[in-house]
Parts: sequence; C-alpha cells; structure tokens
Amino acid sequence: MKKRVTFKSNQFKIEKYLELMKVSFLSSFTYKGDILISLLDLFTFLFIFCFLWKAIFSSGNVKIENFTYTKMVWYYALIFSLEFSASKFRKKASALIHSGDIANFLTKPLSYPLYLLSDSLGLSLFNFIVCFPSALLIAFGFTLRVGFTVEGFLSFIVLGFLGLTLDTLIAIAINLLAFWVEDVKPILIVYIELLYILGGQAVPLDVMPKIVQKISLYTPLRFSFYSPANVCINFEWGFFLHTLTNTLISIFIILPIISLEFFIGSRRLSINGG
Amino acid sequence: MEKIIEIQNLKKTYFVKKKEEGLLNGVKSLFKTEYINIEALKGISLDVFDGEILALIGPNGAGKSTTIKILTGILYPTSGNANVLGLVPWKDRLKLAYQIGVVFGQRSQLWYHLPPIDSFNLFSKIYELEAKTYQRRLNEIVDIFEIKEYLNVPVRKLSLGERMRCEIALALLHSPKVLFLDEPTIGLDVVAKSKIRDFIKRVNEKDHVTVFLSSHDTIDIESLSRRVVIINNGSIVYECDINALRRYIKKKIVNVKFKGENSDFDMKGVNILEKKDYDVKFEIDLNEISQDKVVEEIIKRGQILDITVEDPPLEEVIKTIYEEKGNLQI
Repeated sequence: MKKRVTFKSNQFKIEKYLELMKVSFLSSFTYKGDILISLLDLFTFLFIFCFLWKAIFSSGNVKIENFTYTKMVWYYALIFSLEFSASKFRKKASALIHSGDIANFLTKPLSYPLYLLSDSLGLSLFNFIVCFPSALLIAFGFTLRVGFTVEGFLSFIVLGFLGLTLDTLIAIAINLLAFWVEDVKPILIVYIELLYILGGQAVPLDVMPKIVQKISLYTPLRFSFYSPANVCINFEWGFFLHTLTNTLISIFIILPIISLEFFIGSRRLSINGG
Repeated sequence: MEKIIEIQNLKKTYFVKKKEEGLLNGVKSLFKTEYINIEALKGISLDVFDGEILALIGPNGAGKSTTIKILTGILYPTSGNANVLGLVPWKDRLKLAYQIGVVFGQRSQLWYHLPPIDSFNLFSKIYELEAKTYQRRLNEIVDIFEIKEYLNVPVRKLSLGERMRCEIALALLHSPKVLFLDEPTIGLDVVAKSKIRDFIKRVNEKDHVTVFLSSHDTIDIESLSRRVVIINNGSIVYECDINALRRYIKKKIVNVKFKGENSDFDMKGVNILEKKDYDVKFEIDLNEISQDKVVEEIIKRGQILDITVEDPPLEEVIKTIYEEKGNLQI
C-alpha cells in the first residue's frame, strides 16, 4: 500500500481554539437559569462578606493589614467575579473521559487539553461578562466609591484572564487523573478548599496567619484569583509585572505536566461499548 | 483495487478491576487490586479496499467498536499492526484525523444547544478549510443530506433522524477518504434508517468515500455493503461477499399465491413456514431436495397466481453462523 497521506498536522493553530471559545461562549447563552442562580449566589456571598467586614471594621478598626473597609469590599467583588466565572467547568474533562465521549475529540486534529482550555475560557468569558458588572455594582453600593484606578482595572483584566487560565489548567491537570482514578471529585474538592485558604478566597492572604502566607508563596494558587484582585486595588507597576511574570511561569510549568498526563493517560484509555 | 486499510493480527485486551461483593472483599481490594483481562480482539486480520463499503457485524461485545476505535487512533492495541491510508492510527492520530471522518451512533459531536451551522463553522476551522472551499463543500453536503432547513435550528430541537443526518454530513465536511460509522442507524425509525442508508450510498458513489461500517442491523448490511465481516468474541468468524452470505445456509424460501384451495404438501426437505388463506410460505432444504423439483411439484398441485423464490433472511443466516462458529453471546 503506498503512503498517501502527506497532510501535516497542525493541532496548535490558534484559529481552531478561538472558534472553539466562540462556540462555547455562544452555547452559554442557553443556560439562563444557571446564570440567574449564579448571580443569586454571587449576591448572597458578597452581601454576607460585606456585612461581616462592615461589622468588623465598625468595631474600631480603620485598617486591617493595609486593608480599609472600602478596599476589602472591592477585593471581594473582584475575587468573587473571577471565582463565579470559573467554577462551572471543574468536572467536565473527567466526565468526558469516563463516559467515553473523549472519543469524539481524539478523532479530530486538535490538542485535547487545549480544547478543554478553550471550551472553559469561552464559558468563563460569558460568566465574567455577567458577574463582573454585577459585583462592581454591589461593591459601589456598599462603598459609594470606585476602589481601583484605570491601571488597576486594566491589570485586573489581564491578570484575571491569566488567573482564570491558570485555574482552568490546574482543574484540567486534576481532571486528567481520571485516566488513572475512578473519581477525581475528592481531589477537586481538596483543590477548591486549598484555593479558599491559600488562594485568598476566604479572606485576603495578608490577613491570614504568617504560616499560611508562607505556604502560599510556594504554590501557584495565589495567582488564580488573589493576585489579580490584590494588584487591582493596590496597583503599582512593579507589583503588576512581578505578578504577571509569576503567573506566566506557573502557566508554563503546568502546561508540560498536562501534556505528559495526556500523553501517558491516552495510552491507557479504554472505552468499552459503542 | 488499492488497499486502504490493512489489519494484521490485531489484539486488544482491556484490564478491568475485579470487584467482589461484600464488605470484607471491599476492604481487601483496598490493599490488593485484582484485574480481569478481557480480550476484546483476539488477533483479527482484514483488508479494506478503496471505494468499498465494508460492514462489520456482530453481537454486543463482539469487538466492532474496539476495532473502529483502534483504526481511528483512539485506542492503542495490545499487539498487532494496522495501517489506514498508509498511517499507523495510534501513532499518527493527528495526521490521520484530516483524512478520516468518524460517526459514533451513540455519541454526538454537534453542539447540543446550538444550531448545526455553528458546528459546521467550527469544524471548518478545526480542519483548516479555506473559506471558499468550506462554502462549496457545505453547499454540496447540505444538498446530499437535505439538511438546509435544519441548519439554523438548535440541535436539541431536531429529531434523532435529522440529527444523525447532520452528524454524518458534519463528519464529511472535510472530504475524508474513509468514513467510519459505528452503528449509525441505532435508535432510528424505519424511514430515518432508510434515508441514512441512501445518503451513505450516495456519498460512497459520488465522492468515492470508502465506508467502514459497524452495525447490528442486517438491513443496513444488506442495503449498503458488498462485503461483510462477521465478528464474535473478538475474532472474525466469517468474511464474504454479501451474496455468498445469503447463500450460506442451503435453504430457499418460496412464497406461493394459489388461486384456490390446495392440498397439503408433504415432501421430504420442504417445510411450510406460514399458511394464510391461499398464501403459503415454504422453506426448502437444498441438501435434501432441489429447488426446481419443489417448484415443479407446487405447480402440479394447483393453479398459481404468483410464485417467488428468495434467500432466507440475513438475520437467520447470521444467527446460524454465530451458532455454528460457537460461543453465541448476544
């Protein structure tokens, strides 16, 4: 049999993934009920945290570790708008592996990890467009002032996008463990808990005990949501560039890990039945 | 004719965790995991030629889907060789992806909440089609599959038959040389099945696409393929031309419409399968008696309005093959 195929595979062509993001973004429009629940969740969490910190600050504190009440409210508005944009994706990749639907992607000239990333970012972008303005309105309602500068806002857009990318990549790395373990949910729960503590979601890392801050320095978790929010409300060019560099380093460390996982895992794949 | 697919001694073993019942066994399994080896393919060899429609038929768990998944690069075989268009599927999966189209009857590749046109646009990017080529090809397959009216309707609102037409059309967007269809008519009604078969035939004839089809449905096999491979328990049990398959059982079915009452028929090697008013269906065992002798005898017995002689249903032939080759597990 003569060799007929000369087509060079180009799985990394950016247009493929931009179109995937677009389709995922468009697909999100149908989840109107989910959007409303998400917004309700966001409002509830933000209100609880804003009232909680209002009570703490009204008991005589003017500043807690460099955080005024206004900064604290804006911090939560920013961090929650990222968290609520990201949280929906976390189990999809492992579900595709277990159901065997991964088969549909492996017959395409695509990188499966990049497919998951674009699909997730499309969805996150949609969630962000819904959640971000809502969170800003609530924060403004509580503080009656804007808690960041123009540079801070722009840095948040850049770092927020990279933070969501990092969070998704970590979730993909965990989900790809589905090639080896039957249920990745417990690992995802640990990740979410760690993100809460070491990623500054529960309270800003600056307010955390020193030991937690130190541990956090050795993990990439702070760059997902904490750093974008913190740089935004305390904008300085040096701080921004330092965070940008570290976020990019974290992303470039996790990418080969994911590739290796997929490379080894896909060889173990067993899809029974049609 | 040129070989498009070559398979040699292909084996695939799945390792499945053994789970025994009871709490004690559950605790034991935490420390020592035992695996069961399931031999999905036990060394199959097969060639597929350019432009043909080859049907792989077999009961559940026979190894049909595993074969397709190995040939499309999704699964790695345990041993053996396979070549699709000169490429080793599991090593050159991404290169091969440009040259093949795949449809799994039970797995959709259309975006459920969006109209099919969005999936077509996405696939045009994934397969790197130029805008002009894409538009021309889209028009072609929309015509062939008659899906113009569904292109802008969300997939979730389409019937299963309409959806499957879009699925196959989507898999053909990049003009693949080989189309793998894994049970494409599963769950469809008679009309939808018939339409899908017509479309597949048209694509095979018009675009010269080689079709590798797996199905449970004997009518799919009869109406589409010229060559059939029967697989059971991971081994090929029979491979032949569709006409030879029909003649596998040395039997013929004779349908007779008598003009009036006819006397009972009692001939060695002839069974009456059905009798309704003046219509009688006979089964002839050709090992016992020739078809000509039986027809001659029937004509003698009474005035005949109509008589037809046909092969036994394919379903029965295949069932016989499974039984003869042993280990029938449906």
